[in-house]
Amino acid sequence: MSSNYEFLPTIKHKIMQSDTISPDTLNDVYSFENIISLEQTLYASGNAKIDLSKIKFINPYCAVNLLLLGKNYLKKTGSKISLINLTPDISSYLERMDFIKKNIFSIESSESKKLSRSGMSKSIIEITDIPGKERESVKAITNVVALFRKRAEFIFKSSFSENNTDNFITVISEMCQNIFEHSLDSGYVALQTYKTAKGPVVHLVVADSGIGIEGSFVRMNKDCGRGSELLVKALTTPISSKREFGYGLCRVNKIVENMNGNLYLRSNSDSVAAMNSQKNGRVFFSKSNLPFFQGTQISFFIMGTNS
Amino acid sequence: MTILVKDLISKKGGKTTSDLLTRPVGKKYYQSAEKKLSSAMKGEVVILDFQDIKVIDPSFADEFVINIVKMSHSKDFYIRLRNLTKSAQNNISSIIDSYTAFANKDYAVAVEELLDNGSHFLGNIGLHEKEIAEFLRINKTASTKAISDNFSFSESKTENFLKTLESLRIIRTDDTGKYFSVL
Repeated sequence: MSSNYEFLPTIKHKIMQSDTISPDTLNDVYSFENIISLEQTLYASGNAKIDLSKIKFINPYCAVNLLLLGKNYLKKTGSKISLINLTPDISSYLERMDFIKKNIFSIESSESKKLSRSGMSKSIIEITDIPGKERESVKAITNVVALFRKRAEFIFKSSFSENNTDNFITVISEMCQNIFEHSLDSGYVALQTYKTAKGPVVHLVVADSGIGIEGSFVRMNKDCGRGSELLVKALTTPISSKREFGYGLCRVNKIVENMNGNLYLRSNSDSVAAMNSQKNGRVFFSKSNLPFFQGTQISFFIMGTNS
Repeated sequence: MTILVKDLISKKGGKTTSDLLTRPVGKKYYQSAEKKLSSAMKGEVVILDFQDIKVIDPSFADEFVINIVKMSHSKDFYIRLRNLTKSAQNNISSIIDSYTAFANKDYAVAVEELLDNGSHFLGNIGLHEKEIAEFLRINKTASTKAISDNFSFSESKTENFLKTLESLRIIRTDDTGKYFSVL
């Protein structure tokens, strides 16, 4: 597991004041784990703040989950969390990803540099709502896929191929469908390409704040295991909470495996990371009893797009 | 009968889609195909042509392809798929495998293009059966004796292989006892 930087643990974020979280990083799944572990401090007073002054880069997993956290807070308290001390770069990035447009946070920042849509725009998919209702959701998925197809050449760059594009479309479609099929809530999808120490990556995130995978099985009175064991099962066998059998997550994991990609799945208090190992094939690292974060969040990571 | 799948649902402005995605859309396409298939004759080979379609996701394939395959068994017609992309082949293959495991019954479907598995068939087919199905695809028709002579199998063994292929509905037979490929 330590071979992949995405899964490297980071230093715990500091709590500046009782109601302010001040993260050091927002660039991997573990940095967001730290935010989740401090989530309750945001509810301590009516003036919750997240101080982003130290943040130089946000990956799409953290951006989308930050939105879910803010959405849940707004739903529960009726007020918005304030994002404070955003650097101009972060402010511009959040604007470019349509994060600010969601109107979930109060944003206090210095003037943002306007990022031109023509430059960065073609290699991302902005954070897009996936509604909880079937008809609207199908429409949203169709639109996201159409946009992805249009931009695929810029997203994959030298590793662009019809087959990679088609495989990613299957992944986007199947994952987004799980939101309206199982979560009983709405969610988001986003995609971003960026450079890392190990090379450029294509990073796709699909997340919701619904009942979670185990919740979906419990709701349908189906027993296919519990916790992270159930998550691994969902990635490796064709099980479904709604039908006699299913393919979604299982097929998605196979596609990501064939593309030599990593997958991180978190649901309520459990998680599993799946990646290819030269020795052991597809390996799974699961965790249980994580701090509760409502819903299911999936992150896909494909390496190797050279500009 | 040939069904051009992209034309099953007309879109505004005559636009067609290159991606067949989601379960609700699969249901719509199946309902439209069902109407056309009601006029399929007993023993007819129906071609599902996926021309201009790039992606068929597993949810769509479950609602559309699996239901048509099931219908072909109950209404006694045969299915052949045309113009499948690699991604569509893989997604359809995965749902046929899952459905086979769930139903505890083997399912297969004939495809015009040569697949990654080196044959023209998706689904759970044994090696000898696959060889016979390919032999029939090339020769179009053959008797049990001709097949048994070609593969050096006994006639009774050959008959068993042919019965399996017939039950999978990837070959068919007629009153003369000859076998035909659906391809």
